[in-house]
Amino acid sequence: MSAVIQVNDLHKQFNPPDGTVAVDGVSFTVAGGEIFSLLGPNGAGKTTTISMLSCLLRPTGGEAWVAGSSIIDEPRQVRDHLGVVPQEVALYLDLNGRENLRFWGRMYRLGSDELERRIDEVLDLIGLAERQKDRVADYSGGMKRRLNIGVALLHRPEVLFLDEPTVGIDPQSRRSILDGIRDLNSAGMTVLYTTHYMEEAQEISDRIGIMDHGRMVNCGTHAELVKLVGEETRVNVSVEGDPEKVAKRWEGLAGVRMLSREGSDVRLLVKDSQDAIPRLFQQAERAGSRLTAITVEEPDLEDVFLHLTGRELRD
Amino acid sequence: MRNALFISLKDVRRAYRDPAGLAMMLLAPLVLTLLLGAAFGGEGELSLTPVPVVLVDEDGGESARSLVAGLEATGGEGLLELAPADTREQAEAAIAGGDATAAIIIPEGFSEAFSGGWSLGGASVQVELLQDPASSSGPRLVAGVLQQLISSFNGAWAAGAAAAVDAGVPGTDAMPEADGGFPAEPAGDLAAAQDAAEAAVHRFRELQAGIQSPEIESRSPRIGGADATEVSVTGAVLAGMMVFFMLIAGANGARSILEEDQAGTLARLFTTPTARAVVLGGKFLSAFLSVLLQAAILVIAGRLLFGIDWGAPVAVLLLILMGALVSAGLGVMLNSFVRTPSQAGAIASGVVVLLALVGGNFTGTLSAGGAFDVLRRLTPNGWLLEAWDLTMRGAPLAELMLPLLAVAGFSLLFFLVGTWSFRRRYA
Repeated sequence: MSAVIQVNDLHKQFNPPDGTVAVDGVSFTVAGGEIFSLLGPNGAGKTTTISMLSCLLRPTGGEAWVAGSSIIDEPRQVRDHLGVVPQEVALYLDLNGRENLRFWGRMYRLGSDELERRIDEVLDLIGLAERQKDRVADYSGGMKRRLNIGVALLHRPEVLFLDEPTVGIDPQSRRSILDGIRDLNSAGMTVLYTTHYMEEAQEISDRIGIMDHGRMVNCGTHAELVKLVGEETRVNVSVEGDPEKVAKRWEGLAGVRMLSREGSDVRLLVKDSQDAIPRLFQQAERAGSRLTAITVEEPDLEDVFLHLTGRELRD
Repeated sequence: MRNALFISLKDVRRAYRDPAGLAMMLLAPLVLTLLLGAAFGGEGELSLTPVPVVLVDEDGGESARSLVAGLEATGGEGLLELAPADTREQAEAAIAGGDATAAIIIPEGFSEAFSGGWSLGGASVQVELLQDPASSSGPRLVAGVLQQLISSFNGAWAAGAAAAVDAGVPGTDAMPEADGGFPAEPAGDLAAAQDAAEAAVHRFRELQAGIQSPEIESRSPRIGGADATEVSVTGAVLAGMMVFFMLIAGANGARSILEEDQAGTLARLFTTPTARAVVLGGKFLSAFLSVLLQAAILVIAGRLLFGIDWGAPVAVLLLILMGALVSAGLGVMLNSFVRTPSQAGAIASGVVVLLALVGGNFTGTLSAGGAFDVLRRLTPNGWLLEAWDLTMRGAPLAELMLPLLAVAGFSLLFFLVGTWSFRRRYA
């Protein structure tokens, strides 16, 4: 399938020449009908990237095309094909749900008849038909998030950008939003999704681009990314005694890499768990401590991020 | 452009749904007008504007000069604006030409009649008050002032005569005048003094009666003319308050650009196919429409609640439009220089209050004269108030052109600066 989003060496520096470089040579493509996630910690450059692709910010270098139109030379055409769900809820809280949808639908240049029809459809889709006459200020956080997404769907965009749409909401609303995104994608919509939640990226994405410090560190399917970690396995250990002293001993072992330590819980990446685990027990004993629990897991995106950047996703 | 209208209608709807905003836009100016109107004289009847009066002294005697001095002293208190004329014809022409609201004619023989009163042989005289038939409160004020002055003359003279009688001074038929025609040294025998006192009182009663029912020469009402109609206190105050609160509403309306920026809805608008210029245009339009609606409501409320005669409908419409334009323009410009709504609130409040102080909003449409009149013309609201004053006085449209052009100039300047600044920020 041909690329609906094509990003070539995109740069963004605020207040050049000395200002912050928020995006530093990012390139990727998103095929039609694909869900592509940009995964990275806060400050990785995800929102800046999506802002440039939404024609909100002008790149200081590089080029990108969305739905065949250049974000630099043809922003109007790009916006015609685009639905954008911003990170923060961007709605008029003193208007009711329907009034919000009506206003935004007009901004997407929908005619009156079509607009009213689409409002009804979108209200059903986001499950707010019964609350449409209530002021948005009276909605729960999850309802606001759903309406925030609904606004971007009114004009049936070919491409949907969602910038961390599940931040700060309850698990039930998050589940509803993720299911909704999958449904939209099943109907053929191309989705560019940013998140710093590893589980979300893993769950909904066809492909994932890992970003850090404004750069695209790596990009691929979940399986492809996990393979980057190699033969390593994640081992989670609970230490009774002096975890710090134990961790220091483990860092010196061959084939063992320290991931993190939180109190008595230590996470490690080991090359050969069969060989490494007895040595872990041995070193703990020599440090005057003992292991009270141990689990062995396949690596996930968090391990991939650590493997690629040397630090944790949550840093 | 349709989307600009949708944006502005959405904003107006939001503004007029906010009870606090409504209170600021509509209730505050009306309540303040009520309070200030009452404080300044109330009921819209008393004119605070000095009444232009032409004074003709056909007599030229000492008593006439005393009366003129008394009138000039009253003029110094800001009630009358006296202009001397040589002849009755000149006074009539001044009224017909709209340069004066009233004329006082002190007839020949006035002083002699005063003196003659003591000899019981003086002729009766009448001080004439000519008035513009189109004006009511101004001439009424002049008549009141005249009556008060004559009462003082009357009282003083009667007291002098009574003193002469008490003192048993003979020869009061030769009562000399001093210090403005008031009796100085009663003289003569007791009977003569009594007679003289009675005669003096009689003469002054006659004179007073003449002033209480002044001879009024009707004039055909003038068409136009800046002073054709007096401006009521309430009208003057509400005009001042209305323009002041229009400036505030303009600043508040334009502040919604920053509020939308902070709330993220402005950025979201920029991701829609609606062009940025249209989005910003819509925001400007919403500031304009909010103020326009506010002014329209206040004008109607002023008419219905206070009975204010705002003037010719076309002129009023023009003034409302220009007022809304300059208020929105000022709001757009002020908000374009700041980053956050709270900054905008503080700066706009300061600037608007300063403009209101210099432009004279807190004294209604009154002119304080001198340097103040020059200073107020440096402000858009000063020009607006001048235009409202002219309109309420029934001035023809042509006379409004200068203030309206000045307001249009301010509006253009404000919008250009604001647009340039906002475009720079959101380009």
